[in-house]
Amino acid sequence: MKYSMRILAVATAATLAVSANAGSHNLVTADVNDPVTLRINIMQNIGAATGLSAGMLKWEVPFDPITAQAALATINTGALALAGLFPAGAAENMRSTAGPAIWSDTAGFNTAMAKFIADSSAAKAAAPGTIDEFEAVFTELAGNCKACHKSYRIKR
Amino acid sequence: MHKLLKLTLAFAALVAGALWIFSAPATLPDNAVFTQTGDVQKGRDVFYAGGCASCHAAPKAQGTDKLVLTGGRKFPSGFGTFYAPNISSDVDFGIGDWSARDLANAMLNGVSPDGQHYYPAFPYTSYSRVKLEDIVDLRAFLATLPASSQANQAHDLPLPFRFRRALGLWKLLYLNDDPISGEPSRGQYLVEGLAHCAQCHTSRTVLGGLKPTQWMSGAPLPEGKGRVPNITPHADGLAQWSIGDITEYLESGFTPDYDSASGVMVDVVESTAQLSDEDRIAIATYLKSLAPLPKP
Repeated sequence: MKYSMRILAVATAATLAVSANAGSHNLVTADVNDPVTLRINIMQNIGAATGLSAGMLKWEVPFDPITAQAALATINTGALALAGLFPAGAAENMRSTAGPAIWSDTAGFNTAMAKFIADSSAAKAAAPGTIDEFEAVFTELAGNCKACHKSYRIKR
Repeated sequence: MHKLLKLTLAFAALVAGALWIFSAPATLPDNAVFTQTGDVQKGRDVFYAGGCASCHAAPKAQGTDKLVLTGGRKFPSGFGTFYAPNISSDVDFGIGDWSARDLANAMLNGVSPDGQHYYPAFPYTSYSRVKLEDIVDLRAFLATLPASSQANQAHDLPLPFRFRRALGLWKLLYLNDDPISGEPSRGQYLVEGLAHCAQCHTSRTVLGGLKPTQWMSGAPLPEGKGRVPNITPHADGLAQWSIGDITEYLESGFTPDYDSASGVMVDVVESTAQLSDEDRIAIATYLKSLAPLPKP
């Protein structure tokens, strides 16, 4: 029973993630020489893991500790990978929604990025086993999205 | 020749006189509603629907500091840089001594208690649609917020724009309380009035007035790079968003893709998150009823 629930959760999660990516985001081919394409893909994956987490907290997807921990690990991987992908000069790419403040206020941006890494690492290490534990960890972590996007992301 | 000069001068005086009369700040008559005691709880809802703290809290305020309406936030524009004033309950530095009628004159007519025009960086061209009762309740709620003795910073404007009286003529063009677009409803009242969504989401004319023909279809950011999104139900905008998606976004700040709000919209969502579900649904329903327009 538990196993079938887990299959269901993962299947639903996969559906959510796929439908999320099929939405307003265009799929962008990751090019190892183009940090913008890597950032877009990483951000989309963080979004998918966030959507899965929120789905569990809203009881739209059955809660499962292993799935929850995998979502947190995905977000943590994204945080770790993003930090090095904002080289100077990448600001002028028209596909990029990175805000100019990343380069004009690098210290502030690095502080925000370090907090995202610290919070997502702590969330992963906490390995929440119940939905209440997961909610506490995830709510804290999710505050990083708007905190950073407020100053360092633009819309086009 | 002498006669012509006299005639010209007389004509110029006539025009100047007419402009002076037409640019006079209009104020509201006394109204029984102003003597009523405002409802603090309802005023709180008006406060969050109006997003007052988004502009009037200190620039980096977080949490309960957002209720200290100390001002100071900078608004660069094509006309110069405006600074949000202190609207805390302080009697000397804020608006603690204002009556409900003073607040209504400010919000509905863009006129200060001493009879000066406000610059339209203060969104009275939207607030003009707000009901007097809501302003009386807001007055009561604002009185419960902390006082701040932060002095106002003067706007930094080039010379021609320092002449406030001219704003009276601008108001003839752009200030009215007519409904604009969409279904008459609670949602329309919130969006076109209190929530003043169009102030960022609609493009402006060279004179800085909103363009009704591009209502809510997005605009360039006044400062720096990037755009304010199209929020009409067009393929460029919210066509793919359900009413539930918009409602969720106004509460959590997450898009259907679990991207998050950015820029000033982070502050806006911190306000809309405080509204009732019914009001968020009303806003979403109204947005979906708008004429779909491509982004300009």
